[in-house]
Amino acid sequence: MDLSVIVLLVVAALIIFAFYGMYVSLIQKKNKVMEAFSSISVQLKKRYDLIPNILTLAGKFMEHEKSLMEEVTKLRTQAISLPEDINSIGKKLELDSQIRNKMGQIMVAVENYPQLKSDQTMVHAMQTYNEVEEHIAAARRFYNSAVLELNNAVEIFPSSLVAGMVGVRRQEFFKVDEAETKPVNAADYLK
Amino acid sequence: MDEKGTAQKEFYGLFRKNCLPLLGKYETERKNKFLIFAITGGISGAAFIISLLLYFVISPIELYQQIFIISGACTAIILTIAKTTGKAFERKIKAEVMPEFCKCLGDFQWNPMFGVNSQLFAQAGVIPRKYDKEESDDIFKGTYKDVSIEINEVCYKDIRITYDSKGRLRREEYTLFDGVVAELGMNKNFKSHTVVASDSLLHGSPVSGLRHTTLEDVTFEKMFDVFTNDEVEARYLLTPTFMERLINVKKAFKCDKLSCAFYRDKLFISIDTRKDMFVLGSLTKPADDEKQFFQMFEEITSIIELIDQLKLDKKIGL
Repeated sequence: MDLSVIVLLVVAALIIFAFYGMYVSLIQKKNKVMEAFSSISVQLKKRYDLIPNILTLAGKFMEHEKSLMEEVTKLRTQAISLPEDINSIGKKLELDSQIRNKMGQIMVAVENYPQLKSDQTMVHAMQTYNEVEEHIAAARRFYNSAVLELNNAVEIFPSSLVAGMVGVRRQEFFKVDEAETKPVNAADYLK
Repeated sequence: MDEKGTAQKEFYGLFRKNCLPLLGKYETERKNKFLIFAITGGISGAAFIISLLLYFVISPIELYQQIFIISGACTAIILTIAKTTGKAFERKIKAEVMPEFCKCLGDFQWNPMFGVNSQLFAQAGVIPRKYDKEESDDIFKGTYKDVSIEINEVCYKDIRITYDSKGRLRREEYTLFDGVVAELGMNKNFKSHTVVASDSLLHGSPVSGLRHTTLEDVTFEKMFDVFTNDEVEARYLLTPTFMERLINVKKAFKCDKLSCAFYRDKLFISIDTRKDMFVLGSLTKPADDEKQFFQMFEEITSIIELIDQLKLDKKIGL
């Protein structure tokens, strides 16, 4: 066989391997985003499971926060009804942000009810809720890190070529709400 | 006065009241021992140097040669005995003083015999998995701000057998780790295994089954590699504030290698200081010299302070 043919074959094989490598890497990154998304869903589910318990306990003592509790229940129902689809993550996190704010208000209001505050079941439920909150924050960080890796691969040449060919698209980052970045004024909750 | 200053003052007071009286009786013994080694070592050392000079500078006669060989051997033997005696003297002082010293520290106990479970630390991924020799020195166990803590000074060595150019067997010891390891109680519940190791080029995991992960703190990423089997829980444990605190701890100890692992509900930390810590009872210093104890207090508190620095006593999720 002619030497130039061999060289051409070797070069072609190298290109194919390089493309295949990029393809594998892209799919791995895409799957990592899916894994991160499902981990957010799992953590959110934990919170949704916990909310009724907290509301039931709180409802026994809190009389002035009934409307707040109803709002949380409504938002929770909406969040649960959303499909487990990566395209719905924006809506899901938006609802979650509202739930978190309302739940935060309930948690602060608990301070006004000494009997409820000292109830062991409530204390335990609040601790668990805080732990779940931290897990959700961690899951969001994992999601953003996975999205960053994927977006870099999708946008940077030459893997951007392969991404275009196989239809791997960039994903949106989870953004923190503007309201969440503002400094908290405790007085607003303690009125 | 800050919290540390108050604790230090309190410790100094308790030390002077409870420990110093115990040390007085060792001073005569130390002086005698020091004198014996100083005189014998001095004479044989001087004889060695003089005979060596005479042999090489004045005249290479057999008598000088014999003297420098004998005096050289004597010096080496005396130095070895002095070192062993010094260690034995240190152990003797520690055996009597350390229990009282630990009481001055707070809820702590000292145990020279039983070191930490090295296997557990190796499984956690903060010390070498394979080593041929383990030297364990002091171990302190106790509780600080309701957090359990176990501190151990350890050295792990690899023994390598080589042959020189003449085919003679040589046994060489390579230090793999020389520093302090600590096991601390954790303020968070977790099931996963996460290791934070000093940054390496290849990002090789110290424990099999763990995946390298990248966190968002650029400074942290430059200093450390993170390996975990649960990406979410790793981030739950390694919050941005915790990462910042770990960077500060590494800077404070001025060491190249600092690793920590979240494993089996505990935090395992290893600091490769490459220096002998918790040293006491030197034959060259007065037995009741406060400085060496205060130095030891500083060294121990620098480890205990990890609880404050990493806020392990707080259940605030940061």
